[in-house]
Amino acid sequence: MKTNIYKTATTFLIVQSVLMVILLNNNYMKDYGYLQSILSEWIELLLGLIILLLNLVAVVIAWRLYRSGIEAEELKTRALKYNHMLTQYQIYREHHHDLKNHLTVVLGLLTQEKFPELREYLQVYLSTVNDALLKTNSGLDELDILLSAKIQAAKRQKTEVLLTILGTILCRRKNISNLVAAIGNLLDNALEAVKELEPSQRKVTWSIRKDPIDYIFEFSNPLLLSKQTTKWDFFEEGFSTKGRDRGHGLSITRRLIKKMEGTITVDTAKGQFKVIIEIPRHKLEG
Amino acid sequence: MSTIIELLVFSVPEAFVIFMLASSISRRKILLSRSIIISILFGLVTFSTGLLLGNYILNILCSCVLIVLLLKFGGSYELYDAITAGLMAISIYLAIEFINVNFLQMVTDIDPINLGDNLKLKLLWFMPQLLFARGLSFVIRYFANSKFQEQANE
Repeated sequence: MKTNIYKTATTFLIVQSVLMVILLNNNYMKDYGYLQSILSEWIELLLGLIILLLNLVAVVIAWRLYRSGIEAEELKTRALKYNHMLTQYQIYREHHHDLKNHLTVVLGLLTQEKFPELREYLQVYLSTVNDALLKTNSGLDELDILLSAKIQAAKRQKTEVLLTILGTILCRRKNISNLVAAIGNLLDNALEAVKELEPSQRKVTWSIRKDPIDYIFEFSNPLLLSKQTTKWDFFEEGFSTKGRDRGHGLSITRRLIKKMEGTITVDTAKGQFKVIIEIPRHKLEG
Repeated sequence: MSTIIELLVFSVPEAFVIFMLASSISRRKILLSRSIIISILFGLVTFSTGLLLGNYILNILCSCVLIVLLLKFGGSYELYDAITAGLMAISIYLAIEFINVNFLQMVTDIDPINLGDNLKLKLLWFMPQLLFARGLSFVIRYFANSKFQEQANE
């Protein structure tokens, strides 16, 4: 049976606390000779030995807790990765399913010797395939999968995405989950915001670059707000232009970015809602 | 007669507050009638073991075992919950008691050994720790737990 290390650690901590408080209070009682029997000294010694033993076991527990924490972090990242891989796999399956139909059309056009139509058909089909099998190269597998999946989602809702990646990202395992979650939130926000616009206006710009000090992530989409709003309102818990029970994305993102000692700012100039994230390279790379 | 008064005035209320703390820590509610019954039982047994064993450490260790059993069978707790909530409650209460008695001794310059015969003074010394523990149980139930839950949801 696998021991639950968290439960064991909690129990140990509590038992140690109780024993220490008992010892503390007993010392006080001893000064006044209150509730002390002839065996008191032996019992006290035994209690001391038990505390020593618990402290030694606590070293092992602390080590196992540390290992368990690392494993949990890895599992979280892996789950995220598989989730996005699943999306990609579904896209591949869709194309595989359609391939037979396309080949039938190609064969039909070839048989009828309709070469200009065949060329046009193949060009359209190839561009669709290229779009679907889009590869991004940020240097971070998890981020690439996220970006590909979101670009696919954008295509489905007829939104144009301008993606620029200048330079590769290095990120230590510990930060991947936070970075992907923060960026995922912002991409979702941007895609959801442009949904309300006319198809011709649905355009988002995502850019990833680095300078000698920071990694800089910029996400912008046309601004929807009709009323005047200060920049800081966007980060308020529950602030949303999309109705009730919404508006947790930006405040969560800010918290995640803060964890990596980064900064997040919003620029609403030129009719664009632009979120800029700057994360120190030494923090992200570790 | 004085034994019964001590039991009713000190041990049972003390037990009641400890169960309150345990219930707040475990984020569960114990029915008031059930709380009173298990508090009387706890107060009675710990008071008796104190008299019988005459040793502070053994007395508290017995209390620890008893509170776990009472929470498990009287409060329908899981064993792990009973151990953590019960022991934490006892630990917190004892720490409060230690600070209270030390502080009052420093402020009033009264030797605690002289409290034995003076029930009124003993009660005055006892009340702050009882009220503080009750207040703390309230804070844990309504503020700390909700904050903890909020963080867990994130």
